Amino acid sequence: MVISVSNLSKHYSVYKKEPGLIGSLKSLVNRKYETVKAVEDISFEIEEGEFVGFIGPNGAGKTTTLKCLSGLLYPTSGKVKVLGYFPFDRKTSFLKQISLVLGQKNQLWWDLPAMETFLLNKEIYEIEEKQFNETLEDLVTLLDAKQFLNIPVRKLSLGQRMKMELIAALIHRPKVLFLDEPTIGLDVVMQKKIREFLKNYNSKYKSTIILTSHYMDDVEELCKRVIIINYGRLLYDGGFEDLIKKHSPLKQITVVLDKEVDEKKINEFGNLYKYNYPEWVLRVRREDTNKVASEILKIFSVEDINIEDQEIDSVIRDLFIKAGK
Amino acid sequence: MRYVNIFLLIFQHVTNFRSRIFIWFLTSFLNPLSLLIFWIAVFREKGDVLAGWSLSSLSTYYFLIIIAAAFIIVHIEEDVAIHDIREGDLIKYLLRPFSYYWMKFFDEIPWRIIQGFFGFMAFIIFYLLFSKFILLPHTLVGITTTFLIVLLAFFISFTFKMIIGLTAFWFIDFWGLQQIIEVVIIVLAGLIMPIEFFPHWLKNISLISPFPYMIYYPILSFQSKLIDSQVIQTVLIQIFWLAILYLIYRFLWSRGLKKFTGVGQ
Amino acid sequence: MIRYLKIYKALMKINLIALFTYRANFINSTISSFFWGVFAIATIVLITSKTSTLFGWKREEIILLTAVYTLIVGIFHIFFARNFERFSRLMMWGQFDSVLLKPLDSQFSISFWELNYSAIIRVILGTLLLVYLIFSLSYVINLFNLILFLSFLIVGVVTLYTLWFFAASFLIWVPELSNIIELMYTVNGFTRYPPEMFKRVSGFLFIFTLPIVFVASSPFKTLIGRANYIDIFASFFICGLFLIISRFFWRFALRSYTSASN
Repeated sequence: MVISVSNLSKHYSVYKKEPGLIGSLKSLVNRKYETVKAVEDISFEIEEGEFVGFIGPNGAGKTTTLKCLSGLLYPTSGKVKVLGYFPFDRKTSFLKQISLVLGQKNQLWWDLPAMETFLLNKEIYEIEEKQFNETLEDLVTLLDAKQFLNIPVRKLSLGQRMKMELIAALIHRPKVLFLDEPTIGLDVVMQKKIREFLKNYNSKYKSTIILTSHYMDDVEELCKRVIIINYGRLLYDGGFEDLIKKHSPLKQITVVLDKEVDEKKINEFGNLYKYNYPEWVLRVRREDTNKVASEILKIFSVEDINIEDQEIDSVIRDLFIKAGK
Repeated sequence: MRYVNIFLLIFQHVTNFRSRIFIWFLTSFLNPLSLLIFWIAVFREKGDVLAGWSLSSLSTYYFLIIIAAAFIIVHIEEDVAIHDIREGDLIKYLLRPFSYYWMKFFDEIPWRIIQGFFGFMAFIIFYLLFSKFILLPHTLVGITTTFLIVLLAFFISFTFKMIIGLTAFWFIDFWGLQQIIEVVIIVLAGLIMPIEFFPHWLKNISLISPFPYMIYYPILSFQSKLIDSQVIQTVLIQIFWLAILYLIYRFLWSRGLKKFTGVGQ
Repeated sequence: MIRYLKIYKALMKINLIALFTYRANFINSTISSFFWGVFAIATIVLITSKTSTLFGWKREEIILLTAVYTLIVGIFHIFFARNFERFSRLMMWGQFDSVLLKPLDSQFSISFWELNYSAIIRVILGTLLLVYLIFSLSYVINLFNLILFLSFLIVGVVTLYTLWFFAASFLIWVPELSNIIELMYTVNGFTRYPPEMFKRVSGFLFIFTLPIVFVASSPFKTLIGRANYIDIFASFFICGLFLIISRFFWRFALRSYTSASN
């Protein structure tokens, strides 16, 4: 068990300010504080080599959880253990084995080639010469970044910089890797490349990876297991496939009609989700899918019909709504 | 009016940083304080009057420097040089139907008021604690003329700093110039000690520059140290400098704008 | 600890490379450093221009004190000043986390990350003034005093460092307080003055400024052979005491650190 979290809670106090000029003047003199429950009673366990996705909207508590796992935050209550250490002790030997990549925040020296930062990290993480060269070669090949090594970081594009950030974060071959929104702000091509890289990295080095994202594609492609968090609470912990099956009892039928049909007929048919000629989307129970589909084909003049799982986004949205109640 | 709204917004923004304001105030207060301590020690050793200044008038001088520096010395040049010219924010000013000079003026005013306010508060505290050390003007005429001199001083300071900011149209290295100017102002405006105490050669250099008219003369006026003829002379020289500086500003502005919009930064 | 020496060597190297890469900036900083160095000296020269002795010090001695001050502040700027500015930037933009995630003592990371080689001009300026004054005042310096002098220079620099670090720790609670660093530059300026000046004004003031007052005056006194045991002991004691206090305060601050969310 590489990561074990039991009843983790993290509360903050933030100050409230009333809007407007009077509010500003008031706040000069007197400030009101209130408690925010960023994370509330979360528990889970992760084994070595797993690739887990944390999903949740902004402010759900994903980033806070990651920060507790990497030792940046001290839990308000509960117990956290990573690689047998209490993260908050921030022992050197612990920090040498983990890595946290937080969105756009960078650790590269801006005016210098990324290579210089890597060499500095080599000293800080006490990486042996041979291992350093091997890992560098590996990462550079996997990311296709060899030609950018010796260009000053400020001259690189966003995607190239992200690649360099990843190398800097992985050059010490961490056993546990925390990624917070790694593909945010990148174009679609770059996102795919990063995803591929992470997949390869995970299978090659058997490192444990936790990824937070609100891009479904990231999670769908990379994580067999997902943990859904919202309002600081854990809503779901299990396989991605199961999530779809369990919480998405509906399948979606998209029909492209050939001839315009009276809206009354559409409504009468039932199971309507969206109708915008020529597109007609229905949501039916899994077991009824075939029956409904064949009925549609019998009654209506259809150009195209497509049956698929409910959009993942809406599955999760429904989960959130249920949890919010 | 929209200027008022902008002012209110900036005022709000500034009050969010109340601890910063406190530290600003401390910083502006410690430097004059160290010099004042020096003079107190000197007075204790050498006697009651130095070159026509008593300890009271000298203390008042330094206390007044705190307010004067906070209120009169403007820092708009960095905004102009870096944000507007170097980074191109100037464009949004060009799109508006107002003069750049006045827009920046209203950008700067909230900061000056806040800082001046804190400087003023500091002065009140000092007055309550050290009232025997502090001499204030006590005639209506004195107050009016001081107000006029301060107003002119502010505009001289503002226009001068705008000019410095505009040099960014031509100079890549703005910071070097800015540091030099800051040092020059501190010395020649009388922020280290009354210009009267300077050695001759430095006094002469100072008096042919606009800088004493930013800080030194307003403070002297406030301390009622100027006789009528000096007051008139000061105001006239201030008007002279303001006119010259404004002309230089307009000249640089039109030249600089041509370069800016021609090349496009 | 050898590890930290190796890491510092790598840091010195990377800072040197950064210097060569951004040459215009180096020239800028050097000019800036030079002007402020001259300014600090000129201020003292100006305000003492009408007197020949003050508080038991000859005017030339006060200026010599300023030369020592310039040396100390120059060294401080080379090794530490920029790091505090960087720290306040990190706190302001919520990027302090990257420091905590490294397997490196956070105080070391904050204090030693950058080197400002361009401040060496100030060290040169101070040294030149120092040598000039020593010759023109015909002081005799023996080797023993010189070694003591250098040690006290270091003690002075370290004392300043501890004061800065103590002040900077407040940024953990109030990240917007970045101008506390500017305040500290002003505090540095106080070390230019002879301790006797503060004593003259009020005993209370003297006690209040105690940590600062010995920073430049102790090396000065050892250099011209006028130091007594009280000065020596006080300097070391204050330095050591503040080192311990600032370290403890920093650890305390870290415990209260709430990482910037999102």
